[in-house]
Amino acid sequence: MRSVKFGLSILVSLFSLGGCGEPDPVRIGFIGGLEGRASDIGIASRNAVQLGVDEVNTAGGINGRKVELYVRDDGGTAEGGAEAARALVGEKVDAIIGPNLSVVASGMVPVINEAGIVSISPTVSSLAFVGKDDYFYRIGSTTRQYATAYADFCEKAGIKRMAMTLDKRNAVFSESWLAEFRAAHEARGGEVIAAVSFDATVSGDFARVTREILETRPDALLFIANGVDSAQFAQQVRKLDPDIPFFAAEWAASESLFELGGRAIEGLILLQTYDRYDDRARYVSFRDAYRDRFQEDPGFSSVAAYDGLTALLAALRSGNENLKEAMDSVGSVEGLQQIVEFDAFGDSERRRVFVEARDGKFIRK
Amino acid sequence: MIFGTAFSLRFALTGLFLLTPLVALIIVGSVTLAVRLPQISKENNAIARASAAEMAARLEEYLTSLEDRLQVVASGIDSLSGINSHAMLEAARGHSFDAIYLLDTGGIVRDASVRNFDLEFTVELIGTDLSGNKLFQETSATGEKAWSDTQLSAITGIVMVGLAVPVPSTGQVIIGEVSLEQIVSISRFSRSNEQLDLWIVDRRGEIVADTNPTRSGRRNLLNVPIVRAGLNGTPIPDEISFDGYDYFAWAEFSESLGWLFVSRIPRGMDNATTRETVWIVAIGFIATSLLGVLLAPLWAQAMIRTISSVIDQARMIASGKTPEAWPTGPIKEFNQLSDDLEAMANALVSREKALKEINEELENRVRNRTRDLAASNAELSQALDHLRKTQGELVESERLAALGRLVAGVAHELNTPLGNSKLSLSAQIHEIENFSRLMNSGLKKSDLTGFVDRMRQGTSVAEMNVERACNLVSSFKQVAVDRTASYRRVFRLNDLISGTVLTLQPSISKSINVVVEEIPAKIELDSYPGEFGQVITNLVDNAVKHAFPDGAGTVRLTVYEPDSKSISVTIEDDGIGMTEDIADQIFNPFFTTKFGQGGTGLGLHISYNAVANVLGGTLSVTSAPGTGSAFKITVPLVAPQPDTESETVRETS
Repeated sequence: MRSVKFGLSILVSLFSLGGCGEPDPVRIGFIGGLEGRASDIGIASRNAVQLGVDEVNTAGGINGRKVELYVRDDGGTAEGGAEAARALVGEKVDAIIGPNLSVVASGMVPVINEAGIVSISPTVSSLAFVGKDDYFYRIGSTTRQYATAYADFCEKAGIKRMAMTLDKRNAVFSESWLAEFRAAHEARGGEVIAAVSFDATVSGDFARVTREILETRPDALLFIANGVDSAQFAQQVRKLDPDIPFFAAEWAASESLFELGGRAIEGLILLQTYDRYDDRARYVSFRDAYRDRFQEDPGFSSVAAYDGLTALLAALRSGNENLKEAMDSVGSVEGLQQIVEFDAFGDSERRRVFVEARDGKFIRK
Repeated sequence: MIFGTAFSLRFALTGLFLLTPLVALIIVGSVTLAVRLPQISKENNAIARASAAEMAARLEEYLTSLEDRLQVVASGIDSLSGINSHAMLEAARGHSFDAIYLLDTGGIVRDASVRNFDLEFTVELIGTDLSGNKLFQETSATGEKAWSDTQLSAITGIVMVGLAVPVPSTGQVIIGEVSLEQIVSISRFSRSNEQLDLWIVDRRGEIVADTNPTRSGRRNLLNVPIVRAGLNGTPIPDEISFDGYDYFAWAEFSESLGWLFVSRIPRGMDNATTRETVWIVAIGFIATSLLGVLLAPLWAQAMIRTISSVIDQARMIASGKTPEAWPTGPIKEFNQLSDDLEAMANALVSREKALKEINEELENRVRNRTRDLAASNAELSQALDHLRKTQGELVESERLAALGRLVAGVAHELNTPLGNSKLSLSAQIHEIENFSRLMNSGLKKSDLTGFVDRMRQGTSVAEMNVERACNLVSSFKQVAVDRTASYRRVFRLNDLISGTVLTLQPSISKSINVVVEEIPAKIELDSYPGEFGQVITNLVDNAVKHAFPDGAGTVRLTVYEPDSKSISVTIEDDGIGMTEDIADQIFNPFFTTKFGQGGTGLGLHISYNAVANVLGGTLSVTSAPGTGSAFKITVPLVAPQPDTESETVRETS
């Protein structure tokens, strides 16, 4: 008899497909590199966003609405970014965190602007995306600011003749970075004597490019490349020249660098947009939660992604249906280590800290 | 009526044909679902459990084969020269590894074989420092083979899992990298159920392989309860919700790989078996409904064709038309009904025919009767006319008789004064003759004075009686004028009644007293004095004739004014009275208790008509045997203006 009742109740429920009482969830998309060469910063960003989303849901959601996270790999390319963005638009996300790479942003931004979906990139810094009043918001400074910081550093260290390697596959970033650095460095009496593009997917490119730039006898080298590739260059450089100073652009500053580069990256100097040794409670509790959850330390892209999510949540909590308006009027938000404040174009700045890889750790310079 | 609304047979049949299979199907469907759904649940749970274990075992088996392959390399590589050892790495890599490299004790790459990369790159790799590689560190420290979590390869730049095998003789480490794609394809290949999907999750919750990437994409799954339970060794829930979908699930942890195998099968309507079952029931339901909707009306139509045709026929019979051929159909009972009704209809038709004949006969009879009746009616009308005429004549003769009596009365009344006068005159003549004689024989003074006195006396008597006769004649003249023609004038009631009674006195026996109570002199009527007088005459006459069989009594006339616009005259006697049935008929024409003794039976009738029709008043009687009778005339002071009709009535009556 009970089973008959049960069956009847199923039939009844079949014919009355009523909705449940829960309010619609807030859908947040994430776009980043999760499988390819830049997956170190991609996964670090995603982890921070996932941590943040879980925290929000534990605390009861946004105005009672649960937050759902949709994660898409960008394949490290413009097309991959556009495809991921379209997929997320298809999932009806309210906003997107990502991407990490400028090249991905170049494919993704037109899609999100057309769909009118606010997107906050934790790390994109190419000037190509700066100063535009659109749906694309950025956490972090521009290539100009970062490159100028490197130029300042070189000037203080008395380094004049620089040889650079550029990732051809993220040219929108690396070329912007190079141009800014060249301008700043030359303005400080320096010189970029070589700038060679490489493609990590072409066999032997690392060795070839390394030989090429070393032949120009520079004072120092600078890799505008991701962590894996910077590590590869460091390996190749150290095989030929154990002493020459080298730098990597802030892009490479991931936590995986030591695993990837071993002792070869000893002495590598790079800029980080956060202070890993910050001991303020806000950061420490985030770092501990992150460690507990993912069994590794958060990276610069984690901190930036978390701050991006914090700003987005503030805008969502404002209750303004028009998320872009909400973002524009959200004002300054307290991030993990700094105040996040978007200008009229949705751009913001990061703090800048130079570190050196030493004994498996980044030491503050 | 028991039901509020009556349904048509077609509606009822259609409903029956529709509902019966549907109700049956609902019951069967519910029971099916009630039995089948828990079974499906159980089956899927079992499949999820078995597959998680099976997949773990298969992948372990596959990966163990890879371990064995690297073990073989590890045990043989130190005895080979550089070129041969590279060839061995190439051979070992095969299609299973993306890269294999040999690290010395310091973590420096000594040899490598990488998929899709030519020798130049391999050479480039040699000398690379991978001492930071966690897998290398782990294997160097433990001297045991180990699998890594997912990690970014420093060599290929993609996320992969690594296998490290130590070379016991030299302390070197061989690392093979297996792409996640490879693991996914192996998992997918060995999938036993197409609804079944699998996550392989590393210790950090990162997805190593997902046979069917879910909506939310490549998330870290450490916080999913089943993953946490699987990794922590706590009891594993067998149902999970993920991304808004429900799954039957199970998790198996592989100690040797350090990975968690989580199987999942969609639950609820996402589950193909459940969906199929529910759909079969639903489609059965819909198909039955549709078939029912299509067929039930047709079948009902077919069934009711006979009966509706029978109804039409019955209606034709009811409306008197000749029915057509009686229908037959597929239903035996309906045919029976049709036959019976036909028989009944035939019976009805023949009975109707008989009735019609009887009816016609009846009509004929009625027609004849009507004709007879019309004839006798004409005769009766004629007789009635005749009677009316006779009545009119009688009324006229009655009036004349009354007049005759009046004349007789007046003559009688005049007789006395005229007789007195004659007597007085005779006496005077006698005196005059005496006086003449005396004059001849000597007249004495006393004779002269005596003569004068007696003459004076005699003339005075004669004068007085002649005067009285004059008065009588004058009053008779008025009465006669009034009676012979009906006309209207203003008259004093007192004069009328007194005059009338006066004319009656001579014909009334002396032992009957007619008393007229004092009538106020001021009462004047504008009415018909002839009719009024006639009425008084008739009523007094009636009382005198009928009330006193012993010849003595009193008739009293009293006048009073009930209101300012009318007067009443009562004529009452203290005679024998009447019984009620006589009183009721007393105003009818020709009603008389003295028929044959001179009563015409019209006097009171005429009086009644005169009061009612001419004077515009009422005439009533109250009487009881032994107490006398009282007639009461009530008439307006001003009689109503005659209309033509009442004029006619008066003329004829």
